Amino acid sequence: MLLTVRDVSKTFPGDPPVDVLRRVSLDLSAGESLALTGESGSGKSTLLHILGGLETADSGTVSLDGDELTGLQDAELAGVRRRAVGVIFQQFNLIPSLTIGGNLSFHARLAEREDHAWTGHLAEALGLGEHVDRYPEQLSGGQQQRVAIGRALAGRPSLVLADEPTGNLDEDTGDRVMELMVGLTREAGAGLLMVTHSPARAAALDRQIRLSHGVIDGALV
Amino acid sequence: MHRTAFFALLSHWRRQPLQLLALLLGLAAATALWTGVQAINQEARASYDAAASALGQGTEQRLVSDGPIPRETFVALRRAGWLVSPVVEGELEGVTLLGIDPFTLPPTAASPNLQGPRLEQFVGGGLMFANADTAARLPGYNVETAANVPGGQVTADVTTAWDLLGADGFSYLVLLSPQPRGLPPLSDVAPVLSTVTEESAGDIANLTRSFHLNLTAFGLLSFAVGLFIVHAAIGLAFEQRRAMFRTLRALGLPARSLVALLAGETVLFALIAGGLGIALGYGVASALLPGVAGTLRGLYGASVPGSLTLDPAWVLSGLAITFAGAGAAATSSLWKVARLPILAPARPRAWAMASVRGRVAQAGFGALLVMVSLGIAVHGEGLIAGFAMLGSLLFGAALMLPLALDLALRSVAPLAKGVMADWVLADTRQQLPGMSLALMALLLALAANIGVGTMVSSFRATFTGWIDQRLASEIYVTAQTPAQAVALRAFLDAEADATLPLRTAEARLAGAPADILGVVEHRTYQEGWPLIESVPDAWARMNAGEGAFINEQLWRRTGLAMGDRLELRPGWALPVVGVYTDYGNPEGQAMVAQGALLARVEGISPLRFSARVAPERVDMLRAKLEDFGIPPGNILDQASVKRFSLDVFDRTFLVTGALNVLTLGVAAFAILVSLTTLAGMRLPQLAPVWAMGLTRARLARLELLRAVLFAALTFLFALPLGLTVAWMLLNVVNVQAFGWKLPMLAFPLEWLRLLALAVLAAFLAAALPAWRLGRVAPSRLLKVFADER
Amino acid sequence: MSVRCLFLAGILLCLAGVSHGQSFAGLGEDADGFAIPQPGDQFDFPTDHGPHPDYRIEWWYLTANLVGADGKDYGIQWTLFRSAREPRSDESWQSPQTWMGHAALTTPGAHFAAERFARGGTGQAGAQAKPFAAWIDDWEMAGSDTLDVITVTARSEDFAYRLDMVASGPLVFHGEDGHSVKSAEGQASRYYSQPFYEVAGEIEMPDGRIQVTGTAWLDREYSSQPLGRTQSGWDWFAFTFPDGHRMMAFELRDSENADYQSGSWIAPDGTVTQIADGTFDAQPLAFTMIGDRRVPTAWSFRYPERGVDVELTAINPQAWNDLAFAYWEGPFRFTGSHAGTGYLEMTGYE
Repeated sequence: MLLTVRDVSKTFPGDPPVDVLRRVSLDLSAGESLALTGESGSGKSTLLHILGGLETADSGTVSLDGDELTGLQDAELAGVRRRAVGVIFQQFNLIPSLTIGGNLSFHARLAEREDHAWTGHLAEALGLGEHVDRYPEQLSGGQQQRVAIGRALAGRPSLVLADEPTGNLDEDTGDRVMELMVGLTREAGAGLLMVTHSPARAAALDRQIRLSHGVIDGALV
Repeated sequence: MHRTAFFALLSHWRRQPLQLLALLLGLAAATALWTGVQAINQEARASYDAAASALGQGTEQRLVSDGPIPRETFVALRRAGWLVSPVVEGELEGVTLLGIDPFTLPPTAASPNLQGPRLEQFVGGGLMFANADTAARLPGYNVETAANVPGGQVTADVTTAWDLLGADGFSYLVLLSPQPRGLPPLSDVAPVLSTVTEESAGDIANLTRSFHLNLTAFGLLSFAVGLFIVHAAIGLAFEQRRAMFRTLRALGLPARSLVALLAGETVLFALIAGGLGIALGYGVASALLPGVAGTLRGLYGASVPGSLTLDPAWVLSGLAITFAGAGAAATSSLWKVARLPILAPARPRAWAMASVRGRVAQAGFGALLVMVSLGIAVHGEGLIAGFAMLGSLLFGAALMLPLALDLALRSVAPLAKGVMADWVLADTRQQLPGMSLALMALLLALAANIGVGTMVSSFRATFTGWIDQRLASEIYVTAQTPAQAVALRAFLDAEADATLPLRTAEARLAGAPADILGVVEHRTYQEGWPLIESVPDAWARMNAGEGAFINEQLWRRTGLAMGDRLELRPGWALPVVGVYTDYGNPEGQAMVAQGALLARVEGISPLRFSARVAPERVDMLRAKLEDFGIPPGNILDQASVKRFSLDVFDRTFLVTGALNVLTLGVAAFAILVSLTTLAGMRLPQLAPVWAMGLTRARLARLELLRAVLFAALTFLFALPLGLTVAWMLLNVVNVQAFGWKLPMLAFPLEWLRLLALAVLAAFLAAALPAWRLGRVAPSRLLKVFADER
Repeated sequence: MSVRCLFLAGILLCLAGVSHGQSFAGLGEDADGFAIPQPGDQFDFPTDHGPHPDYRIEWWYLTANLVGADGKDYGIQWTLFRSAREPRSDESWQSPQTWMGHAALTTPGAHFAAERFARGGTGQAGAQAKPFAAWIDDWEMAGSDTLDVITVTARSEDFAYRLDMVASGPLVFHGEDGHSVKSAEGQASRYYSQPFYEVAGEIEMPDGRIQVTGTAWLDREYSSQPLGRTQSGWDWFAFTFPDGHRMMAFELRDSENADYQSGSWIAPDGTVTQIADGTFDAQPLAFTMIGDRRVPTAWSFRYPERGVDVELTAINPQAWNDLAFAYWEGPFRFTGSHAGTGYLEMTGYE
């Protein structure tokens, strides 16, 4: 099992405190894709962050590729993020000071797993071949998100996390980005976990889970 | 409506207290340094004016003679109708004692107040007046404190002065103006007197003008550095409030009103910061004034009190420049607001993303300024031109800095190994627009530091070497009476290896006060007075009384060429056969053969001698001289003279050093402000890197590294610039200001120290933002990904 | 510088109504040892034409009513004041004697005034009886021991004059044999005059020289305490009547008590009749603003005992001596029961 989540809870401090996640459990195997849906504030982004080592759970366990994330220090979590996880954000969040080529290979080089052939293949597959020397600001939103997909996959992570990857894109561009993301993740043999509130996008993945008020509604097949 | 809008605009600052602090402190710091310098200048000028009006207003006509003027001559002149007033001048405990006749000397601003019984005490009771500082140096004397008496001077009645000095007659007669109609010619009444135009006070003002210009230039530089901060803060606030402006405009606030409100906001800040700055400036001036007073005393012999008076003139000038500065810093932002389309997209990063084209245009303008500077260097004349040259060079170079740094970062990029190095370099370039104002400020501060530091150190090294050479005699003795002098001469001839009588006559050379040294023929002089310009056999001709040497100051001022005749006294002119360096002397000087001088000028004091003796015998000779009857205070050994001279020198540049440090401090503050304000805007750029597996601590360390990199790179550009500044100071400004040219020496250790200081300043400035980044909550980083725009 | 203060302390402060606190210490002497004029003192000429260093203050005071070759009226003043800090004279630069000179020239359209100061004992200023001379710098009044024939010179940057004078009558003594009482309390001075000078001379102004003739009046006065504490100033009138009579009258204005009047009616042969307190009436008719001072420059003067009822008008109302010690001093013409010229001095209008 690539990812095993057991009884993960998270409370945001405040007055009153908000229980964002309540004893959430789920599994994801390698090569599998899972859509995480739910209302705004249902806790789906927080769950995604915890699975990516961007945030830590208050209780429960998260095991990624056999590594237990719970209780890891800042530096160890950073290591997990570098090596095991690729992230794709709604805002693309490319590094504006680096070229497209630099962005594509950035994560892989951070993880010290740069594979020129694989990166080149990704660039071609994503239709970015002619843009590698350009800068993010010179690209359209769809192109930028394709760079983000490439960046997430270039280091061959075992898990790709995507947070509303098409949220900032129009319908047609979103379709194309979805297609590339799902296809390439599968090609890389990585698990994909995508947060979305669009049922149509969710339906394109292998499985769906719906979060409601921090609790999993039940597995929808 | 306006009130509501105004408070909405102001609310921004409540949420950005650090920005507000930066704006106010930047403006206050700029004002403070400017005001401080102005206050110092004002104080010094006031005391020159007091000195100038001690006896007359500015230029003063005097009647002088070879010796004291007898009382009868004064009375004869008065009885002939000539309005003259007698003055006795002498030295009392190191203070200038000025004996005046209050009956014939018209009152001036510097006259002691002789109301009521004071006049009786002054004329008949020996009462004297001096300012507080000077009075403190005369304990046991009947001195009353009077603030308006120039420092270093004590004013007494002529009769009191005669008693204290053991003198009679007058040093000179002040020729009052205007004189009555139809007077008999002066030559009939007092044929032995000659008229001179004395600008003793005016001379001081002239001599020190360059010094004050120097100080003013420094003040302006500091002000400019401060304005960088203000400009940055105002510009940032503008960008951050773009959305608010848009909303206000959309809600019906006319563009003109918005501009007016923002202008009002600027005025409000200028008022607050100006007041704060003036208070700070007063503090700066109070702290620096004793040093300046020391400088002026050491360099020019001008007496300036060490305490400060609050003068509305510089308070107002301080406020005015605050407004001017705030206005200048705000204009471009206001201009943008005025032309802002209502539906302009809010792009908070736009400010930081200045286009390469803008950078190139700015550098082009900078290059133009540098060219102007070179043009002035070639064609300019005078001190103002010298400073204009320095100013355009510095600002031109500052404007070129962003492009230069960009090119430098770009050129080292291929050398970078590894993804982190790539990213850091790329990200550093990315940050450049936001940092460039602060870095320009740093460049100015560093270049000024290097330039002034090199100038001062070159000066000091040259001066030290020169003084070693010049002060060759091991011992300097002054006899108490002419009779003792004769005996002393015989004593020294027997005891020392060589005796060199020191004979000096006061004179006016080329229309200004100067000294004529009469020297005997001895290798001491040939070795100690290297000539920077001379004719063949210069020493032989001078020693034979057939030529005169002049010091560099007089040479540069008069433009005399070798062989030109210089009138030393009426009817006595000698060709100039050599020029010697004479650092630290504000006045002209000539050197002639002693025999020739004594033959031409009467009344030269025969009391002073120097003696050559083996160094190990100095103490013994000193003891013998004391046994001989010379008071210890009249015997100076070489070492103590050198110590004294170097002490004077070091005090001279104390202020320069202090201003250097202050300017660097302001630049460091500019970096702090820039980094702090950039920090918030940089989160979106840092969050993805964090998300991809970099710890916050590592990011923070990289931020520190980046700041240090910026500082080091800026230093690399500042070094050649600073050396150019030093060259200009030494070869252009100093020649104008002091009258001497100095060789430029390199001081790599000082540069290293400054580099370390710059790096440290940048490190400290970056430390707070970096520390905050290291501890930023992950949720804040995550928010970056969730923010909807 | 405040040499003026010395004089103010001596003479002029008194006129301004400020006491310098001296008191009578003994007959003929005050607390500081200065001589005090006593009734019955007699003059001793020519010695008394010279200085009296044992008195606190003294002056040689000449005024002249002149007419120029151009027919215009001119007035001349030449005054040498002496003031002593101590009642002694020594010929050193530390002498307690101090000298001040005033010279003025009045024309209908202009008024020039100049001043000089000097310390005593230097020779720069002084006075002597035999041969008679009084001087400060090159300003000089000198002539015969009897004062019958004297010459007066003075010059400044904008005017100069030289006047030769011959007396057509004797010296006259004011008060009782020269004992001129200045207040009801008895303050007094030694006071005599030569009011009968016939003058010929030349004056020089910025626009040229002009020959003048006329009459002049010399006052000699010395004292140690001329005015009372509350006396704030004086108005002093000197009349020259065409028939050869002269009249001197002064009124000492008093801030607390009644003003004090005194004077002399002088016959052409020099016979003096004292003018008693309260016997004449001088009333301002018109005032002139000089700066922010309001100075009476036209007067009605009535002295019924001699049938004098005249109106006098300043030849130049702006005859203000704007000097370290400032006062009004200038020539006037009078009409009415009599017509003639005279000199008016008004102090205490500062």
